[in-house]
Amino acid sequence: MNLQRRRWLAFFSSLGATSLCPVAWADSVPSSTRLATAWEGEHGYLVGVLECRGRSLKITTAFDVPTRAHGVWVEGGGALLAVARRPGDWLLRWRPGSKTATWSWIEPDRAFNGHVIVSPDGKTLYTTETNLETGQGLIGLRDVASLEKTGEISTHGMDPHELLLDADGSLMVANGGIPALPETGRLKIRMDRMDSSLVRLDTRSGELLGQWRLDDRRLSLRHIAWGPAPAANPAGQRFLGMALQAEHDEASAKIAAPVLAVFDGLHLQSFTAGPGQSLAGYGGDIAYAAGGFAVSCPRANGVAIWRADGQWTGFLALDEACALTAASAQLWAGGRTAALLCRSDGRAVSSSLEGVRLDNHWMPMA
Amino acid sequence: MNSSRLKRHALRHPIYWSVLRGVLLVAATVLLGNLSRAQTVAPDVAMPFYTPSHFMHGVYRFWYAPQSEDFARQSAALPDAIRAVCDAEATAGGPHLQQARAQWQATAAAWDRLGGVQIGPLVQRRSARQIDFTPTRPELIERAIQAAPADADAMELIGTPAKGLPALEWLLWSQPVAPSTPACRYAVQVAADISREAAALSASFGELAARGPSEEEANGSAMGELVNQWVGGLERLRWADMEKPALSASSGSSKGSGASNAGYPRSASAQTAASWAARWQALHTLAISTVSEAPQPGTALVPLESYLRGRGLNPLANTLVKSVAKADKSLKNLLPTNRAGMTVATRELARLKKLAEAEVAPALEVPIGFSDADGD
Repeated sequence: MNLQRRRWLAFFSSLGATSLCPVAWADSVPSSTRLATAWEGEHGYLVGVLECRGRSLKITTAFDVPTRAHGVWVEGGGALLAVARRPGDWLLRWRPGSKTATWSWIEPDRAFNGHVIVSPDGKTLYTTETNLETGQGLIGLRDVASLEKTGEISTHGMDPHELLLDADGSLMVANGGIPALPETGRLKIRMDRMDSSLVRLDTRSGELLGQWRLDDRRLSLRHIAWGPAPAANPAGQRFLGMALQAEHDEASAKIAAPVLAVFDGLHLQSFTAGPGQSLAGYGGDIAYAAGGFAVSCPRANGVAIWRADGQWTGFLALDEACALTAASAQLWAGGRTAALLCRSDGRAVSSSLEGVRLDNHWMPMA
Repeated sequence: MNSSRLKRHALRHPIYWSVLRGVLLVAATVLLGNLSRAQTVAPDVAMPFYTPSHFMHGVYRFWYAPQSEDFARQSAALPDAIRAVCDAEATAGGPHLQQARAQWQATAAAWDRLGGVQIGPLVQRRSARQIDFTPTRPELIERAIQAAPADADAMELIGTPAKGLPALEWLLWSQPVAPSTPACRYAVQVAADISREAAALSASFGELAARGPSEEEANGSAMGELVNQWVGGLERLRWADMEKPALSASSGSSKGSGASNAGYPRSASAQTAASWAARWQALHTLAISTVSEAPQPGTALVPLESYLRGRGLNPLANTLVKSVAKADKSLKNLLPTNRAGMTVATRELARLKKLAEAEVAPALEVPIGFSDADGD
């Protein structure tokens, strides 16, 4: 296990009473914890479910997929939706344990961008996509039962990545804004045209309800997570945290770049790490748990944590940390060979993770 | 400079040590019997230290320029071949149609070789999208026939799903054009459109082969693009051309996706295997040396294998050779009806891709944009 326990303990000792995670170590994690995710195994790519067994996260069930998967979503009935990494061409529904899946192949002039969510009424899927002719971003509207596309709405930007619904039914979408030649996959071109933004869309009319940008145009907004409501906010707007990917030409600027931005309903602002802490300019995933926004930093080998208002809290060491999720107000962080659980009772637990190279995300099964 | 000063100068020069290291490692590897059949450079041959400029000049001059010339030549003959069908007597179109089909096959093969690894003008012009958009849309072709475009400007207004090689394949095989018909006249325009794109590509690659190294070639960014596109070409062959059509057909893909109807590339003309072979030829040629002499900078193509050996990376070069040889063997005479063979081939291509991403590109100090190792 690559968890640097001494550093972990030292870190939490230094935080005192406001620490997000504890100094004590538990013997094991609850056996009921199950996480849906995508990973690379020895012989290819898979989606499936991991379960805590003693001090290890073990594969309980898995399904082979032909190319690397990215976002996963657990439906109310327990089925798992997974979508191919951008530029992707497949979306599938798979019931854990089944040997088959329902596939949906994207139209010839579109590409999936890696994320899917389900509408509150359970009737519609929303997928982030790219128009390969124009490079413009789209939200694909799909029938839940058939996975067939029923419509599209513009994201008013390029490279839309993760999307989440707000309480009022509007859709928040992170336009990554990185211009790439679509048919080559991920070849970045004309970076002077980079234009990342956060947008709020009306899912019924497709109307653009708001669009916000960071001052630094080389910061790509990619993954998003809801936080709590600000203390003074009569409209009930919640904080929305965003993990960033730096695209600066200069290596020094990229390494020093922030990896967290927070939207409070009115303003979008980035937040830096504490003094002396480099996060290597890449946030792989974001979750809100135990009172803070956690952003995984695989290139810095750890998880950076801020309070919801952007105040720096600290950094947890975890080799190649990336997948994050909140489960019962606890933070789960997946790394290269280990996973961490910051429990609400103030204890931290580590689990080994072998034979599985996680993709960016995981999600708790109900 | 006298001989002793020359010797001292040479000993200080990094190229000397690289060459020496390359000679020793090649010799050692041969003694261990680890070289596969594809690596034919003699053990006592000193490998030059190649620069990114050497590499790019070699691929432009000895691969892309001649391949684009061939594509331009083949496609230039296509409009006349189809025009012969259009001009034939109503009952005498058959032999001309066969000749037009043969010319389409030669053109498609030339394109598949050239477009197997897409760099430079192929990327900038988005040539694959312009002339090889799949799946073709019969209803849009029918509409384009009704529009009756008569020249290049009119063809600009026709959408890509209704033109290019797949549309022409449909017009020659799926709904074969007949003499003196609007469809035949449209087919001539589609062929001319392909020919114009081929001529532009040939001119661009010709210029690149003739001029001195640009800044992008000298600083390695052009080579970085090629390595990335080589990996992308490998993945396209494995997934888009082979595995995806099979999977989408067998998974009962939802209607309207297009993918389930796309099938294998060039299936209407029964040229799927030829297309796979042509694309693999591009990948193979740019990766592995097939000659017995070490390529000299400026006088020959420098494949990735030779570039690695020139930097003393013989074990990795040998691994690459072996992996390419396995893929080559699995693809030999492979037909789309051979499902077991396709399973082996796609597995070997996936392994080769993993090797390229995980070991070859890092050794070449090339960041892989397509990499499966990076995040998203």
